[in-house]
Amino acid sequence: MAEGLTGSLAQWPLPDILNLLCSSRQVGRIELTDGPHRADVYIREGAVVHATSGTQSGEPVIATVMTWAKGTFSFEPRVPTSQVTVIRPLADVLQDAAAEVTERAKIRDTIASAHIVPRLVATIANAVTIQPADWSVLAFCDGRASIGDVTDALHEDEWDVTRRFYRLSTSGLVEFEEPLARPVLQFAPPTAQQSAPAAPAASAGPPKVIVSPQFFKELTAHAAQALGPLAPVIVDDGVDLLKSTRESFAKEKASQLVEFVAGEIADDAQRVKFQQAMLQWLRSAA
Amino acid sequence: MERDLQQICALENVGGAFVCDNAGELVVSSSPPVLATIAMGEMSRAAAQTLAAMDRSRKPVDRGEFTYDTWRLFVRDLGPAMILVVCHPNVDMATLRMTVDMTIVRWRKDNNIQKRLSKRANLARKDLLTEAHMDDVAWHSYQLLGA
Repeated sequence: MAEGLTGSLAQWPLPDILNLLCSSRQVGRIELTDGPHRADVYIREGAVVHATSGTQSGEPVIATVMTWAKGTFSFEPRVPTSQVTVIRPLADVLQDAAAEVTERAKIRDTIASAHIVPRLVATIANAVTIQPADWSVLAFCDGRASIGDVTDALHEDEWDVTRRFYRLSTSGLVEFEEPLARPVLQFAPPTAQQSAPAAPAASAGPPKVIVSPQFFKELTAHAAQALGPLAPVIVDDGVDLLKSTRESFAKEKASQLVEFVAGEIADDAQRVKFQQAMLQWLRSAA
Repeated sequence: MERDLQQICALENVGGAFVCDNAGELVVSSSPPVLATIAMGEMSRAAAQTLAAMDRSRKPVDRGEFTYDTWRLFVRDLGPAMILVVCHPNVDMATLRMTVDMTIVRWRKDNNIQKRLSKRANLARKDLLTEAHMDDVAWHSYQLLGA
């Protein structure tokens, strides 16, 4: 059943994937990617036994992946590992990871990114006890170094450092400066949403040309060859993301929708095949 | 590579495309060249610095889109080199991105192209982030970013 299982984390959150694979006592590796980030989670006979992502390993990796709002997963059966970095039952791991995700969201409300610069406050109202681990980051507060810089200097996990700064801010010792304004040039990885042009005013511009129903048939059929039964769901997600409906979908946005669906296909060869087929179709329909 | 660049240039509102290494040396250009060789080199060096700076500031990207008043530049990282596409602001960026994506996947599998590009890997991109490789404004801005 799980042979070649792939999909989108937006559709299949990590806890669902782990519950499914562990309940069917699968053995193998789940490869998870979100842009430049990658994590591998190994399962064996109904349990998660090892997780790794960059320099991180063990249960924290599960929590990290659960913060990814998008990305893809791919399960490769029968990939063994001799490493064991996760020893607790899956339910406990997921429960703690969910709590960690909640905590991270709370901290991210205050510290939006590693570019934030922590600064010592001028005065404090009450006596404060500082933990040794917190002191190690406090020593870098010179009003210039960002949290990312401190992480680099300490060679420690960025999230641990961020959490320590958050603790210091709740103690009233540290405040944060907003990062510099974003540069004019947008360098974010493009998404269909970001690249969607602004909707024209109702009274201005030429009338909107709607795509034919055949477009969605072709799109779904080609996507299904790479994405399987999730294809229609992913197409609908793309339509939602572009703030439209199948019935009123503008022809000028067709390529953006194709690009969105292509972005969900992790395998290079399958993605290229899909892109070629759809670009050819779009050209012929133009 | 030349034929692939011509295919990219066949897209509506695309003016030209070229590949330069990290040092700004031209590897290949669509024909006729969209710009003077020296201009292509300058643009690619600036683009390589930008990619390196993004990487250094912990926001690595493998592509960039620069929008100006009358034209647009699309840059895609190839590792030791970059592909740059000069286009009109009205270009269909999604189609362009996908077309370049397909081209790059094909290039990655082509040993001859990989050899051609790897010969150029004599300058690491991060080495561009030095005072010697930047003008005063760029260097000052880079330092302000805390890099």
